[in-house]
Parts: sequence; C-alpha cells; structure tokens
Amino acid sequence: MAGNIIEFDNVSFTYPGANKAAIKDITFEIRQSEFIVIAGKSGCGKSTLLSHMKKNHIPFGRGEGNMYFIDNANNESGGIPNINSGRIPIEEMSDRDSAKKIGFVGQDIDSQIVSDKVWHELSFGLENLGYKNDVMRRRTAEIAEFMGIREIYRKKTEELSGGEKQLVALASVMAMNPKVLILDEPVNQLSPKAAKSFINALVQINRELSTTIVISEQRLSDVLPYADRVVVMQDGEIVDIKKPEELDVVFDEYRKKKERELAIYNAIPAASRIYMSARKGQDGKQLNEKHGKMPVSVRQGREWLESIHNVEGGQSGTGKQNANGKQNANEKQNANEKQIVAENKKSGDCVKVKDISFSYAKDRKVIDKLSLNIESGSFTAIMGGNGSGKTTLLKCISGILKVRSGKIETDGKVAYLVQNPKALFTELTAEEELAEVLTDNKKNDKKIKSGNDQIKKKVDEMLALLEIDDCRKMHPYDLSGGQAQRLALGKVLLTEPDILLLDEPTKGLDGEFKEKLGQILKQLQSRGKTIVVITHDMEFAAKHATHCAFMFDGDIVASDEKYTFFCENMFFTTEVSRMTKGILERCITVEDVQRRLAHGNK
Amino acid sequence: MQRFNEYHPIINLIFIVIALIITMSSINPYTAGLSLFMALLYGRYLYGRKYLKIFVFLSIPVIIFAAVFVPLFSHNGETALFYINDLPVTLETILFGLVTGMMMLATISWFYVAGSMIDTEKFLYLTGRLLPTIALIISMTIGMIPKLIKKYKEVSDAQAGIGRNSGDMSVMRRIQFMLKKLSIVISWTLEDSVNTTVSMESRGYGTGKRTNTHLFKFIRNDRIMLVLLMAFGSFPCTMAILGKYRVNYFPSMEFTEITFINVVSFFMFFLFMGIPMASDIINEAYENSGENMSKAAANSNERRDNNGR
Repeated sequence: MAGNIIEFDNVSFTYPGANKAAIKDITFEIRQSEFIVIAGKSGCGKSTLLSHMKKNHIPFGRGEGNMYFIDNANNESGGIPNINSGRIPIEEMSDRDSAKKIGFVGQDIDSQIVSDKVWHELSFGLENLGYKNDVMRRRTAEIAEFMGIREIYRKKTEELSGGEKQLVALASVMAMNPKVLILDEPVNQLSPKAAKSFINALVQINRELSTTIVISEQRLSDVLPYADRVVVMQDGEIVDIKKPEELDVVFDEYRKKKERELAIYNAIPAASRIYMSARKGQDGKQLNEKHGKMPVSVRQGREWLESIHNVEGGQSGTGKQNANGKQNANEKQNANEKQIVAENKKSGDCVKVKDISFSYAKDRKVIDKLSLNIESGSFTAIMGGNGSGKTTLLKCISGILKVRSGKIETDGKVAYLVQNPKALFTELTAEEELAEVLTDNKKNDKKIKSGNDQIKKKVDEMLALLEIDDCRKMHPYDLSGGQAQRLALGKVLLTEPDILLLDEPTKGLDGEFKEKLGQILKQLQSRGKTIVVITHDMEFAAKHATHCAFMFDGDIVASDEKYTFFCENMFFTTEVSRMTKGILERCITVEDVQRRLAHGNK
Repeated sequence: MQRFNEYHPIINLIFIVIALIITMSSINPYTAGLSLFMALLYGRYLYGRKYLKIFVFLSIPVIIFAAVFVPLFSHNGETALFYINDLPVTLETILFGLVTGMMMLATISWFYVAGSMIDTEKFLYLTGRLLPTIALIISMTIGMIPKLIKKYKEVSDAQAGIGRNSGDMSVMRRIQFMLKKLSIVISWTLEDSVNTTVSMESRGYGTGKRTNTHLFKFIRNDRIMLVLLMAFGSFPCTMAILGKYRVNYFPSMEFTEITFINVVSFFMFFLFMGIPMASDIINEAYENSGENMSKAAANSNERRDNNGR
C-alpha cells in the first residue's frame, strides 16, 4: 500500500473578521496516486481546504493545526524507508519546492494564463525555475504530446476556447511534473463537453503518471466514476470520506443524525439520487440484497433500474396492470403540463424570428436562415454546443446585433443578461447596484437617500425576491457566483422587461443555487414574463423550462415542449432520459422517476 | 536556402544593426543614398507597390524639414545662394539638409523592413536573452490588449442588454457612459490580475533567476549567413566607426575622397545590404522550381491514371 503524500492534522481556519471558522478540525490523509474528490456545496470550505495544501495559497487569517507534505523522493536512495523522513509542514516548504511538487489549477480560466503563446505558457513554470532552453523544449513537447494539445502548440492563447485554455493551464502545471495536482473547481466555467475532456485528461494523468489528484467539483456526475475516495464536506467540516459507491451510507447516516439531506444531494449523479430515493425508509440489509451497490453512472443506473424493474414485475405478478397504472399516472401529469402550456398558448407568440441570418465575418455564417417562435409566458431553454450560435441568437433578438436578412418581431420590452455578471457591476454595494438601474437616467445621487422611498422600496423588494437580502451591503465582487448571478438578474429585472433573455445563468452554480434560480425564474414566469435561457444544463432545462430548443450549426434543429423534446432525442438528452429509455417511458427528471417508482411500489 | 526572415533572430539583428550603424554614423551622401536605395528596393520587393506609396507620404515632411527649414534657420556655410531678410541661405546648409533627410528616410525605411524580419516572437527572444523579466512584461502586455477589448465588448453588450445604447444619447451622456464602461473594465481587470499573480506564484515565479524559452535553432544556414554578413559588413562597419566617412559641410564642403579603399568599402556595403533580398530571391526561385517539378510529377501521374482507364 502506498504511503501518504498529504496529511492534515486538526486543521482549522478562520478568515479575518469572520466569527465562524471556514474549516474546522480537519484531519485526514491523502495517499500517493489517489484520485480524491472533495464534494460540498459552495461556501462549505472546499476552496479553503484546498488552499491549505499549497503554501502560497494559504489565506491570511487565524489558522490552527498542521498540514504535512510527505516527499518520498528524499528517502528513495536512503535504503530503509523512514516514515518520518521527508515529512515537511507545508508552510515551511521552500517556494521552489512548493512550485515544483504541488501543482494548482483554479476555476478562473482567463486570468490564469500569463503568456501570449501556448508554447510559452507551457514553459512558464520551467522558466521560473531557471531551466535551460533545450530542457524546456523537451518537457513542453512531451507534455503537449501527452495531453494531446499538439495542434494548438503555436497558437495564441487568446484564440483558444475555454476548454483549450484550461487544458493549457493544466499542461503548464504538469510540465513541472508535480507530485500532487490540486484543482479547485477546474471545469466550473466550461461547457459539459469541454468539462468531460478536461476530466479525461486528469484521469489519464492519474492513471498513467500516478500523479495524486485532489479535485473539488460541483458537477459530481463527471468525476465520481473515477474517484478513489470522496471527501464529503458540510459547514466547514468533513462529514465522511468514502468510496463513491458507498456514498449512500454517508447520506443515510447524515439523514438519521441531522434529519435533513446533505447539501450535495443535488450534485450527485441522477442515477444515485433515484437509487437513494427508491430505498429511502427501507431497511438497509434487506435492501442491499435487492438493490445492490449504488449506481454512479448512466450505465450502472440502467442496469440497476432494469434489475429492480424485473424484480417488481415478477413479485407483484400484476406487472402489466402496474405498468398501465403507471402510464395512467404519467399521462395525467402530462395532461396537467399540457394544460398549463395550452393556457399560455392563448396569449400567442411574443417573439417571432423568421429566416434570419447573421455573420461576424464574411465567410462564416453564425446563424443561418433560422426561424423560431416563442410563446408568450413560456420558459424556453436553448441548448447546444459551443459556437453553435446561441449567444448570437439572443443578441439578435435583443437588438444588440442587427441581422442582415430575415425578420425579428418582439412583443414587449426585451432585456438581455450577459454570461459574466461582472460585466454589469459598477457600484460598491449590492443595493447601490440595484438602485443604479433606477437612478441612472436621472441626475440625482446614486446613494439611496431616505427621501428616495420609492427607489428604496423597489430595491428592497428585489433583494427579497432574489433572496440576497443579507448581502445587501457587500461589494458585488465579493459575492459568490450564485449571488452575483442573482444580483445581475435583479439589475435586469428592474428595467421591467416582458421578455427576459439569459445567457447561461446556470454556469458555475452549484445544485442548490441552480434550484433557487430555477424557482425564481418560474416565479417570474408565473407573473407573465417570457423567459428564454441558454443553458448547458439539461437537467435544469428538463426540470424548470416548459420548452426546449436544440441549436446546432447556426440553426434550431429541434424545438418542442420539453417532454417531447427530451424523449425524442436519442443522445442529446438528460441522464435520466438516457437511463430510463425503454424501461420507463417519458421520464426526463429524477422527480419523474421517483413519482413513477413510488406509484409502482403501491 | 531560406528566406531572410526565417534565419535566427541574432542574424536578423546583426544585419539590421550593422546597416543602421553605417547609415547613421555619418551624414554622408554616398552611404545615405546607397542605404536609402537598397532599403527601398527591398521594401518594394517585400511589401509591393504600397510600400513606395507609404514612403512618398513619409518623405514629404522629412524633405520639407530638411531642405526648407534647416537652411532657413541655419546660416553657416560660404556659398550664399540668395538672401531672405538679409540672412544668407547657403548651398552648404541645403545640401546638409538634403543628406540628413536622406539619412533619416533610410533609417526609417530600414526599420520598416526590419519589421518583416523581426516579429514579436523574435523581438521577445532578443529582449528575453538580456532581460527575461522585461520580455515577460512585454509578452503579458501583448496578451492583455485583446483581453481588454473583449471585456469592453462584453460590458457594452451587458449595458445594451438593460437598454443602454450609446446610440440614443447626447454627447455628454455618451462620454459619461463610456467612462462608466471603462471603469467596469478596469476594476474587472484588476480583479483578474490578483488571480494571475497567484497563478504565477504557484508556478514558482520569483523563486530564482528566470530563463526564457524560445523555439529558435541556430543551424548551419545561420552560420553560413553569419560568415557572409561578417565578410561584407565588417569592413565598411569598421570604416564607419573609425569616422572615415565623415563629411564636413561647414564652412565649406569637404567630401570623402574617392580613394580605392573607399570605393571598395562602399561596394561591400552595397553588397551587404543586398544579402537579404538575394536570399529571398534565391529561395523563391528554388521553391518555384520545386513546385514546377511536383506539378509535373502530378501531371504525369494524372496522365498515367488516364491511360490506366
């Protein structure tokens, strides 16, 4: 068994000015060559924990306990391995050692890159350590080949896509051949496709170079199948450390003890959630016989679902009837949904896009003869890969870009929210930020005066609606991703639009924030606003939207009511749909399956 | 053979430095004229006719400055041509002005041509060898500009998204609005730069002496070129540095004597400046013949295919 490489001994840390510790009594160890996933909702101390693993990342504040880095290279030649030799407190490592042996990749894509050319970026770390040119060329060539980024070796870093940039950042760290790789939500800002290829690169590094990997991640479904162990965190503490397929035990125990669900429940794979809800409240031993291990991937989920489906069918003996019953229930529900849609339909379409084309450069069309109608009062999710023209479409609808040919008709005031909320923030506090929208066109002071009651009232209402009341005095840049996104949404809402266009509002949000955002959007929808959202998150779309559209190569290739949309798509559909296709019909969200299974059990 | 801009940056640098030393060491009509002529010839070859157009536009102010302003304000020299307000305008100052102008134009033209030989990457390499940190700063600055532009665009879109278009604003409002957008870009950039610093530190920035990577190789062709440049350049360069090309204009003109040695050195300077263009032309001819051969081969293949059918 391999020895440890990082050890934490009772580590606690409190940020200056905070009255609660960000992490409390953290004691755990990471073994050599392990693939460790740190799971927890945002603000649970994941980042703080990770930043304690590298010297220059340790934040200022009050810290207790010790972190150790165990360097076996020191005693490799020493004959008998001595457990204590090479055990260095992380704070006392030399800067050079720290740079060489512990690699760090963060979530902010653009600002991590220093040089203007890819090859130069790859050698940045080596340059700092003073390597000779021929050594650097060899190393960068090796790593470029290994990571499969040879084609972009001579490109400008600015021309790269987000996924490529992040791969370059990873390769640049890997060029120094670190022992440990620490990654703080590295795929947070990437599209699912790019995130997958990044995770694949990580897995390759872990399996082929046996580099230890410690990664924190919100979309657990991508990393969980590869993890050796998962560190589950909540409120600054480690709840448990378990293998991914044993996570259900952690959830069960936590539920028993605290009588609530762990916060990362929404982040685990759909298959795992369905599994857990199916066996909730039943006796563990009996269940394990029936259900087997917890599934963490679509394939495992499908196998599990098939097994219990068969068992149920066999046991009841009235499988067919049951199935009919299920279908009835489902149809009823569908009917409900359809009714809602039908009600909305009365009001007609509020966005009519007819045969539009758009191109930035002469030779390449971004949008090609696209037509789309959006019903007034609907909640449409537009999905599709990077570069398919989604953002351009929204910009055209909002009038920021003028189309060359075709016609766009909008009925009502349109507002558009860009991807990065930072592009919208000008003021010093969240409440001033909202007030700015209302006062901008007048000459008066932007500060909220007591006399300006109307503005204050509107701001308060908005803060309450978005549930960011408690951070009204905070600087917009200090807000978490989810809060910043909601504040930006608030600014847009204060312009009182009828049609709301949102460009990837779910980007970088954790499960809980996403859920909250979905609720807020639904609420807005119920007030009669029409919502169009670009998202990569199919589960979000399946759960909250009423309509979905699939954009590909500058055109909408599919647009439908969401159940029809997801059930008719074979590959471009939710995990649940892929898992249940052919076993349970018309299931696209975890809730659908839960409802169905619950009905079946009765 | 290879194009001159495909040589190692050191070679390009040596060429341009020697050419400039000789051109600028003295206000000599022979060196200045030769240098200007060769720079124009190479520039025309590299950039085509538009280069000459640019040159004409550039030369007008220089000539006005040199041939009109200098004689108006300097009155040295023996040969008075005419008088303005009782002050002599002399032949010597006019000639001095013209030659100075020619030298300046030659220098500018060489710099323009040097742009084709030394691109950003080579420039970074050349600075990086001496001052790695400065090279890094330059590289980061170059990387920064497109990032800033991108951010500005995004901010503009964001503002337009909540109904603020500069199109329907008064001039004052428009300026205010632009300043607001710029301030967003700046605070955003500053926020990002904190991240950049941490990312640099994580990869060991500041832990010791920095080196600089480059993808350049000094190969046999470079060595040959170095010998060629030295063979033709070192003699006139030495002459220039020793002040052998000096020309006195005042009080009366004393031209360089037409000695054998001087003529030889001018000729060598002429050949020296012709090296880059010769290298390019030979390379082109070689490539063309190669292309023709491959075309011929393709043709014969086609024919064979046709025959086969």
